Amino acid sequence: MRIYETTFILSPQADDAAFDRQIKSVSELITSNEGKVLEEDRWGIRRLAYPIKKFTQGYYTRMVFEGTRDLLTKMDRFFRLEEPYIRYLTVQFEGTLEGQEESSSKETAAPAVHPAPKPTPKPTPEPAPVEEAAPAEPSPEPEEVPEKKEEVDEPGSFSDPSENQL
Amino acid sequence: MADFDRRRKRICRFCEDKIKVINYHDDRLLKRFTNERGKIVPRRISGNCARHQRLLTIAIKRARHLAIMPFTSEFYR
Repeated sequence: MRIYETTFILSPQADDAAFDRQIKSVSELITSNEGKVLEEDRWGIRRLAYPIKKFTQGYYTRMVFEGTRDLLTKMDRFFRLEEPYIRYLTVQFEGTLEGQEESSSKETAAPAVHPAPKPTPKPTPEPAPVEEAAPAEPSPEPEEVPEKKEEVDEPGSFSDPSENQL
Repeated sequence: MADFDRRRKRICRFCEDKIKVINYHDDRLLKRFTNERGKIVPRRISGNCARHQRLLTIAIKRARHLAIMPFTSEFYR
């Protein structure tokens, strides 16, 4: 379950009740698929920087929620098919919610390079032979792994020993 | 090359404020990094560090998709 943030624009030709209904449909879609809405942020009607579907204004809403990847596909279909939603954008949530750790991962269109996953903290001090760039001793102290990661990063950065066989 | 560095002694604004996330909803902030035509300002002008320039670009492009920022704003000419 990951945390996502979606911002969508509703067609301005509606009244408050209709907006409520439309926004509720979204949150219901989330909750009915094992998701949880974490934040709902309505911006109201705003000028668009350029016309969309001939409209010059739209009702903006931002929602942060927790959900599965299946939910995402469903949401995508929903937004695309239903009429009042004229624009939407769903990304992986960046930033902090109250009292949460920051996660700095972005939405990946293609399986981008992974920022050097922490060298799997091997519990037993096996001398990691394949990792050519590991001057760090494989001392299995888990607390030191993040620090050592910097050492390992410099020379070997982005080299996943399993992948990078040139 | 040394000249360049002297001119560009300015630190990246985001690094200075230790900002980790650039909010793509904040058009006022993002607008500062686009010119009158709506184009994204290059790094050698904005003074941003590589990392933040990348994040900024992504944020601006997202904002453009959501019509929070224009793609182009050539009103005259």
